[in-house]
This record gives sequence, structure tokens and C-alpha cells, in this order.
Amino acid sequence: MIEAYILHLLIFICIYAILSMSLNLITGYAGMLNLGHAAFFGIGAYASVLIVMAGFPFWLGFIAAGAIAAFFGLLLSVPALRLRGDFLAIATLAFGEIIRSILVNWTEFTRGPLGIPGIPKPEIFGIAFDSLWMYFILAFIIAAVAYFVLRHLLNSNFGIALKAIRENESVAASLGKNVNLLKMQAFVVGAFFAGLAGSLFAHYITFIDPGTFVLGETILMLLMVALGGMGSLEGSILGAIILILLPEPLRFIGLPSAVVGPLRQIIYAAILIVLVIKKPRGLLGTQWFGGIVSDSN
Amino acid sequence: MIAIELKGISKKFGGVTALDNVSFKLEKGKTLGLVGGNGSGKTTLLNSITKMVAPDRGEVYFKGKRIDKLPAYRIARLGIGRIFQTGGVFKNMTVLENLLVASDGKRENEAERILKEVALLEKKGKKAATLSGGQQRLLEFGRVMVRNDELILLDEPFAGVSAENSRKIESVIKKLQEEGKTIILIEHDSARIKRLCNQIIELEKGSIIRRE
Ligand SMILES: Nc1ncnc2c1ncn2[C@@H]1O[C@H](COP(=O)(O)OP(=O)(O)OP(=O)(O)O)[C@@H](O)[C@H]1O
Ligand SMILES: [Mg+2]
Repeated sequence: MIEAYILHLLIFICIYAILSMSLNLITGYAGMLNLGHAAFFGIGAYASVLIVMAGFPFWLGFIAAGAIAAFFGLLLSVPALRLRGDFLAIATLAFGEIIRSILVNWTEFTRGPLGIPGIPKPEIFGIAFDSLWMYFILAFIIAAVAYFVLRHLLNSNFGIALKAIRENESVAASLGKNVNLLKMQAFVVGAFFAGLAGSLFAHYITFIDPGTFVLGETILMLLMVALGGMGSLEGSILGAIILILLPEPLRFIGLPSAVVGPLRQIIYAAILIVLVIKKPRGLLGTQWFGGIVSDSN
Repeated sequence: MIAIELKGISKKFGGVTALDNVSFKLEKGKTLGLVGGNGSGKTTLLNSITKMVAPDRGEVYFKGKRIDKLPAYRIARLGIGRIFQTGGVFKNMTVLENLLVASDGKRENEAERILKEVALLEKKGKKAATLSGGQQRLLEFGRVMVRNDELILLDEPFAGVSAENSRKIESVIKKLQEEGKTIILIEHDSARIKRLCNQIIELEKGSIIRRE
């Protein structure tokens, strides 16, 4: 029982670590405040589920989840190239809202607000990931691969160039950096990994509905990024661990579930306030995330 | 060979004329001193070359090829580099990262060799924000060197720099001159202009009022 509970938390940590690392790429490294990240997560979840439930193998659904989310990342990057700071944030917010309302209203496909139950557990080349242990191993491997791939990317010229455009786009351009292309790539790669996390989430929970992939979810991911530190992948993992575990004791003090939900939100808000005052750069980070909203260069 | 040529460049900001029909040519390997009072259009002239602002009228040629329709990053890739009047270093990045952005794939030891030349090797892992004004300028020079730019635009590189760092900067400029680089230098100190420049242009209210 306790083992199951711990494995469950570890699986969530893996999924949210992928989400926060991928958001860190867009927001922490490239400096674009993205309030629509949960939409990429949702797109990945729905894409994977619809493909697998149509009879295709899990690995195909999983890869398609990343690819389709990446395609939407490319779409969102088009307005993102023209907008800065708060305006960009509003555009990404609108994007999240559009995706949510598509999921709600395109009922032939998504069953709308009813959601999709009975999602099968993954099976990859005959190996069934139907136990908690197996699922944890799968989630851990994918999170680890995501970490190493992102770390490799971000330590390369690409990552350094992203940091440079976060600092000053004009100066980066004067050094030969194609700012628009780099921003597009950041959105595409970030969305890709969020889509993979969506697939991983959907086949674990076995039920998805549009209400899961909303702004509150993006805020949680942003909080993980900000807590761990903008521009630090390890920080994002740490942020995911802390924010997944922190509200857990609430379960054990016997509060009614109607209270636990809001209390969780209050805890997150309190963390945000303390963070902004005490540790604006996050635990492992290099830059205050507030800087991304308030100044464009 | 003509390295850079401007033909009839004009730029207005609202009602303010920043550049008014500016034309000049500069031969490869020469250094042009650009002088003029505050707000006379010197920085705007450099911005028009690197496309940080788009001129309203006129043409820019680099080695005979028209470049004013290209985006800034493509112009930079042709081998045009600059040092900014302010804000040219990425302050939250390390000294080494500031160079690696410019070097684009070149090895770290190449970057280190250049850090040594601009006397910043011991600062390699430090945030650029911790450098003095003069050291930040030297770091920008390092970027121009690592990129091996052919045309180098210098916007008041000595402003607010200590005497010691000014000497270092001057010797870096001389070294770039020896390597045959073409340079445009904005500078107020006339003695320094005389020492470093082959020709001089003076701007006033965006127009050229003197050529030497
Ligand atoms: N981005 C801008 N927006 C509005 N006005 C501008 C802009 N850039 C320059 N100007 C105006 O254009 C004129 C020329 O400015 P510029 O910066 O080119 O002068 P400068 O010769 O470099 O001056 P300084 O010696 O003070 O650096 C000034 O009146 C300035 O206010
Ligand atoms: Mg100026």
C-alpha cells in the first residue's frame, strides 16, 4: 500500500519533471513567458489516446503525441515571434484557452467534458507496463532521456544562443543569431516534450478530460520552473519533486477533499509569494522570472 | 577595394531627423573616425549598417554587395561586427559564454586564447555583470575577434573606461588594424582620433558637415 503510494508519487514526479524542464526551455532559457504549456500537455494526451484507442501501438501514439504537440508549438511560435513580454503571455494564454475549448466542443473526437475513460496501459513490443513498478520504470526512463537530450541541447550552441536572445535580442542578432528561428525551435522542442508527458500521463491515469489541461496546470509547471530556477534543468526537476510532494501531507490530516483542493492552491500561492521575496532567482537558477514579464530586452 | 559604402542614408524618428542623406565610402583596411555632438546621429549611422534600425531611404553596400534589405543576423554573418555604446554584453551569462555565443561552434580553447588576448582569462567563469565597464568593452572586442569580423563598428569604446583599460583597448584596435580590418570608430577625443584614424567624418543633426 505504502509502496504503491510512493510509486504513484514518483511517476507523477517523472511526468511533471518532463513538463517543467520543457517549459524551462521556452520560458527560462529563451525568455518567453508561456501560459499555454498545459495545452501542449493536453494535445499530447489526447493525440496518444485517440491513436492508441484506434488500434495503433502505444509507441506510435507516444511519438505522435510529441510530434503533434510540436506542430502546435510551431503554430504558436508564429504569433510569439511578433510579441514580447506581457503580450506574448496573453497570446499563449489565449492559445491554451482555444485548445481547451476545442477539446470541450469537438465531441465526436474527444467526448467533450465527459472525457475519455478506459485508456489502455501501454504495451511496447510485447512488454506490458501495467503494474506500478513497470510504469515507474517507463516514466523514469522517459524522464531521464528527456533530461539528457535537453541537457545536451542546452549546453550546445543552441542553449547559449537562447540565453543570449533572452538577454538581448538585438545584440544576439548582431552576432549572427537568427532570433526568430531560435524562438521557433524552442517552442517546437518544448512542446514536443510536453506532448510526450501528456501521453505518459494519459496512459497512467487511464482517464482524461479537458479540465485537466487548464491554466492552473500551467501555473503549477511555471511554479516548478520558478522554484527550481529559470535556466536550470536540475532546478526544474527539483521544483517538480518539491511541488508534487509538498501538498501530500494534507491527505493524512483527515481534511475533507473539498478543503484539500483549495488548500493546495493556497500553498502554491504562498510558495510563489515567499519565492518572489526571498529567492527570486529560484533555488538553482540564474535569473528572476519576473524579469521576463517586465522588460522585453 | 571599397569595404563599406553608404548612399543617401536618411532616417527620421517621428519628427527628429537622425540621419539626412549620408553618403560615404571606406576602403578595406582603413579606419574611419566618426565624430559629432550628442544626438548628431553617430549611433544611428552604425545601426543603419547593422540593421538595428531600418533606414527610411538610401542604400548600404558591403564589399560591393547591397545589404540594406537583409535581416540583421544575415548582415552579421557577412563579417560585420560591432561594439555597442551601451548594453552590448549579456550580463547574466558568463564571460566564456559571451564569447561562445559569438564563436558558434568554435572550440573552447580558441575562445580561451582570445580571452587571454583581451586580458579576461581569469574571469572566464564569472558573470559578465561583475566586470568593470572597460572589461565589458574588452569582452565585446573578444567577440569581434572570435568572429573574425572584417568590418568592425566601434561606438565610443573608450567612454567611461579607466586609463589602463583604455590603453588595452587602444592596443587591441591597433592589432585589428594590423590584421587589415576595416573599422568605423565613434570617439570624442580628437588626439585619439588622430592617432587611430585614416579619415574623419563629422556629423551634425544627421548631416555630414566635415570630411578629412
Ligand atoms: N530608437 C530611437 N527612437 C527615437 N529616437 C531616436 C532613436 N534612436 C535615436 N534617436 C534620436 O535620433 C537622434 C540621433 O541619435 P543617435 O543616438 O544616433 O546620436 P549619437 O550621435 O549617437 O549621440 P550620442 O553621442 O549621445 O551617443 C537623437 O535625436 C536621438 O534622440
Ligand atoms: Mg551614440
